[in-house]
Amino acid sequence: MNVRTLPLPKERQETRGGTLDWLDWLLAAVCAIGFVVALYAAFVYAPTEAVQGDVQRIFYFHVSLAWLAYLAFFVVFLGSVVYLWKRSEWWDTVARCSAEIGVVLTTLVLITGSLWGRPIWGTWWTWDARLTTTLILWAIYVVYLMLRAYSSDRMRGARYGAILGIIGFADVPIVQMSVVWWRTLHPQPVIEEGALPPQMLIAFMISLVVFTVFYVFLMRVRVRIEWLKEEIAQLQESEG
Amino acid sequence: MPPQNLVYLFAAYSIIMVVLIGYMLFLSQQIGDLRHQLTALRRQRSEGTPAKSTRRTPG
Repeated sequence: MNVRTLPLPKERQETRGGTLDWLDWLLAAVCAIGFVVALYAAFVYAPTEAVQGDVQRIFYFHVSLAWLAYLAFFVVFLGSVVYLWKRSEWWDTVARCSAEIGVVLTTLVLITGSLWGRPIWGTWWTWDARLTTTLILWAIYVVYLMLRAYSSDRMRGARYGAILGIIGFADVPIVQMSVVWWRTLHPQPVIEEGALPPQMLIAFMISLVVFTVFYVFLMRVRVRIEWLKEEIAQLQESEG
Repeated sequence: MPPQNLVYLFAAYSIIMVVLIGYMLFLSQQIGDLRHQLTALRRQRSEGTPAKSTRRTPG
């Protein structure tokens, strides 16, 4: 069965052509103000780290981005499980949108990590366990997006994508635990162990909250794009 | 820390901002294009419907 022939759910019929609603604008405003506050906290409020100096301030956004990437891939995992279980097109859309955002976030994690590693380790890249598993995570979801984009049969693409979304998520705990399981250059977890001074922790928490709101905002916009595509496809089908 | 290392800090935050703003612009562009396409399709449909109905009721 072609999923494009399915009737649009009630909430989809109320998209008003993809217009942002009051909640989107509210989230956008919270993000704009939140990013200013997060930058202030990272650059002014948090003290300078004694050994690494100012370059350590990369940590606040770098770690927040990494955690949000984990969240994004968890949503892909969840959406994939529900899709395979209930064949819910809605959850497939959520998974696909979250994977795209997760890839953007992981790309930034890799870039900012590299920019931190150059002055601290003296190299842009090393095949350290944390870095390598993160690169694999990024590659898994790039493949996921390619699979979804180039699949000629949409249902089959959704099914294979869901399987990859579930298997691929297994790399997330490996990435997280890599610094514990293997001897790595990457710093050990400091947040979970409570080793972070209070001001640094507050600066990090602000970044984390702002990025979480930003993820929700991006997801709402990204899902709306899928609804618009669906609406156009249905109109074209009814025309043809 | 040598002052030249501030370049890495500046580069990291600049890249984050540029990529995130670029991604939002990309999404905004997509929404704009799709809305334009949807409006065109709806107009085409509404213009097509009366034409058909006039043909069906010739007298």
